[in-house]
Amino acid sequence: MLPRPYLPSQMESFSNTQVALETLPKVDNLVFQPLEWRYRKVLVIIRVFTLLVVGVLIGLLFVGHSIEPLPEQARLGLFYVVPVLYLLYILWSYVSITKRYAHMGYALREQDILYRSGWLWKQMTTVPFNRVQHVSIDQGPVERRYNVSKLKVFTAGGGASDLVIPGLDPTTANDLKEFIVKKTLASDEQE
Amino acid sequence: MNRNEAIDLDFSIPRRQSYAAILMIAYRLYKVLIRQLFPFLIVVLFGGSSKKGDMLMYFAGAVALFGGIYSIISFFKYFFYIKEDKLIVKKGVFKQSTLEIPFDRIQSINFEQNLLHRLLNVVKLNMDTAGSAGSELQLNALNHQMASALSAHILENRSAERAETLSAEGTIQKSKSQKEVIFHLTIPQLLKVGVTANHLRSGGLIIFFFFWIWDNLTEMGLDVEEQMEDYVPTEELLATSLIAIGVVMVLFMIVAFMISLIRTVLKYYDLKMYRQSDDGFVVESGLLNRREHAAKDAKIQLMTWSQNLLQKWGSIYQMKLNQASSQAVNDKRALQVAGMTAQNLDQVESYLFKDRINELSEVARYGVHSYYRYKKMFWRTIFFVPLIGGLYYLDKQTFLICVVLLYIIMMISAHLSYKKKTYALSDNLLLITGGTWGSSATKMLLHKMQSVRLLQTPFQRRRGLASLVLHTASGALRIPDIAYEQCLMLKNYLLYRVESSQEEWL
Repeated sequence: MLPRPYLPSQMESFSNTQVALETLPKVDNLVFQPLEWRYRKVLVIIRVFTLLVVGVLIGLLFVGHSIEPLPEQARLGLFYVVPVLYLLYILWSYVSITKRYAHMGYALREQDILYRSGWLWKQMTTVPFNRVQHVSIDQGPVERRYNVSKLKVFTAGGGASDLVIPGLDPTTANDLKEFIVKKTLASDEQE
Repeated sequence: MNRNEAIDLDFSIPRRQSYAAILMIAYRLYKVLIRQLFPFLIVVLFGGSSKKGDMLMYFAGAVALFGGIYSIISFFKYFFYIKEDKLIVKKGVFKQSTLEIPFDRIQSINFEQNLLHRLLNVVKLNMDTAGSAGSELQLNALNHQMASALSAHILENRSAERAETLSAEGTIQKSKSQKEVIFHLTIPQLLKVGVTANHLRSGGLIIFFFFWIWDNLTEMGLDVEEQMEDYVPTEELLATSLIAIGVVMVLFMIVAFMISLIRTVLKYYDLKMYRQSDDGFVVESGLLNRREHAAKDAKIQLMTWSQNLLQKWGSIYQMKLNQASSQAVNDKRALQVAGMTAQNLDQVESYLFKDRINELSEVARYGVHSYYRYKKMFWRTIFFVPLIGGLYYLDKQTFLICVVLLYIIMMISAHLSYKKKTYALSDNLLLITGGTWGSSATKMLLHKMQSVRLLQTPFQRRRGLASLVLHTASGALRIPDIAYEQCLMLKNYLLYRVESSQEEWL
C-alpha cells in the first residue's frame, strides 16, 4: 500500500535486531522485558493514596452541610450511589493496575530503545540512540522504599518526546544507562 | 545598522551597557507593572471616589519611584566582559549572579531594535545558545559599534571546529553583500495580507478584551449592569433592538477588520527575507518593533505553509520555519513570513531541501481513516444535541436557528478536515497536510526526527487503527487514525532513516 521506501533492498545493509538481555535472542518479534514485580506495589500504593484522598473528600461531603439544601430523596440517593461508585472505582483500580502493569515493558535493539505502556490507551515510544541527549536515573520516595529506579532518556524533542522507563532494578537501570551512553557515543563518532 | 564599522575593542575589562539601558529596564518594568495594575486604573478612571483616586496617585508615585531606582541600580550592577573564550555577565540587584557562556555554545547573534531602541540609537543583542532552557542571553542596549564589535569578536573566536561550520555567519555580521533578498513584501501586498488576515481571531480578541474588562470591573466591586442601565434606557433599546444589533454587528466587523489590518501592518511592514551565504535565512520586519530573525538551514526542523479561505482566494501563503531552540516548542523563534506566492515557497524549499525538493511530487498521498471524521462529528454532536434540545424545549427561536446553523457548519468542517488530512512519504521527506476551510502543509526532513510514539485508543483498536506522533526539536507532527499495520511500517521506516542517517539534525 505504501510507496517506494519499503523496498527491502534498501534496508539490506541496515540491521536493527533486538539485543538479547538474559532471554533468548528473538530476531523477528520484539520481546518486551517486563518491569520489576515490586513496581506493581509502587503503583498500588500511589493509587491507594489517591483513593484515600478521594475517600476523605467524599466523607467531608457527607459530614458537612453541603448537601443539606438538596431534597430528601436526592440526599438518600447520594448516600447509596456515591459509596457504590467509590467501591466500583476501587475495583476498577485493582483491575486496571494489574492490566496496566502487564502491558508495561521495554526492549533494546541495536539502534534504539523502546518502551510501551497502557492497557486501554496504549502507547509505544521509540528513541534512536543517535538522537539521545542524555540519560538520567531518578527515584521517588515510594520507589526508594521498594528499591526501584526510573530511567529517563532525553532527546532534543522536549518533554513530550522523552522516554521514561519506571520500575527498574537500580542495577538494571545503571546497566541500561551505561549501554545507551556507550551507544550514543559510538553513533556520535560515526557522524 | 552599519555593521561595517566593527572595530576592535578590549572586552576583557568589565563594561556596562549603554546608558540607554536604564530606560530599557525601566520601560520593561513599568510595562509589567501597568499590565498588573490595569484593573485598578480602570476603576479609578470610571467612577472611583476622589479619595481613592488620591491614594492611588500616591501608590502609583511610589511604584514609579521604586521602578526608577530599581532600574538605575540594576544598570550599575550589570557588567559584561570576555575572559578567554567565554562571555561573562554579572548582574543582580539583591542577589549577585554570574552567567558564563562559552563562545562555542552561542549559535547565532541577532540584532533587534524596537521604537525606543531606534530613538536612542542603540541595539539589543540576542544570543541564542544551544542546550538547556533559560540559557539565552540578551544585552538590552548597546551602541552599534560596541554591538557589532562584540558579535564579531565572539563569532571570530569560536573554536576551529565550529568556526568552520559557522564562519559564514561571522562574515555576514560584517558584510551585507552576501545577503540576497529573496522576498520583499511591498505595500500593496502588505495590504492584501492585512485584508485576508484571520478576522475571526481579531473578533475573538475584542470579545475577550470586553469580557476581561467586565470581569475586572465586577471584581473591583463595580456593578456594571446597574451603571449601564443609567446610561442606556432599557425600553428604548428594546424597541430598536433589531437595528441596534445590526449596527453593533457591523461596527464589530469593522473594528475586527481594522484590528487585524493594524496588527498585520505592525508585524509585517517592510518584510524582507534574505538568503544568507547559502546556509541560512534572515527575516526582517515590523513597523515600530523592527525585528530581525535568523535561522540556519541546519537548525530548521519543520517548514509549514498555510492559507485561510481568504488567502486562498488571494492565492497568497503564510510560511513558518520552525527552528530548534533550547525551549523545544517556541513559536517566537520561528521565522514567519506572510504574503508569499507559490513561487516564493518553491524557492525557499529549493534552498532548504536542495535536490530532494521533487521527491514528494513523485509519491502517492494517503488519506486518514474515516474514523477521523466520525470521531470529530461524534464529539461535536455530543456537545450540540443537548444544547439544541434545551433551546427547543425553552422555545428560544432565534438562538435555536443560530445554534443549528453552527452545528451544521461544525459538521461540514469535520468533513473538510478529514478530506484535507493527508500524508506522503518519500526517501527523505515527510509531508502532512491539513486544514478545514483553508489548508496547510508541513514538510520535514526525515532525519530531523528525535523520537517516535505510536498511540492506540480502545476505539482505534476495534477498527485496527493507530496514530503516529513524530517528535522533532521544534514540535511534534501527528499522523492520526491510520491502519495499524501501516503505522508500524511507517514507524520502522522512519526509524531506519534516522538510525542509518549520517546527517546531523542540527
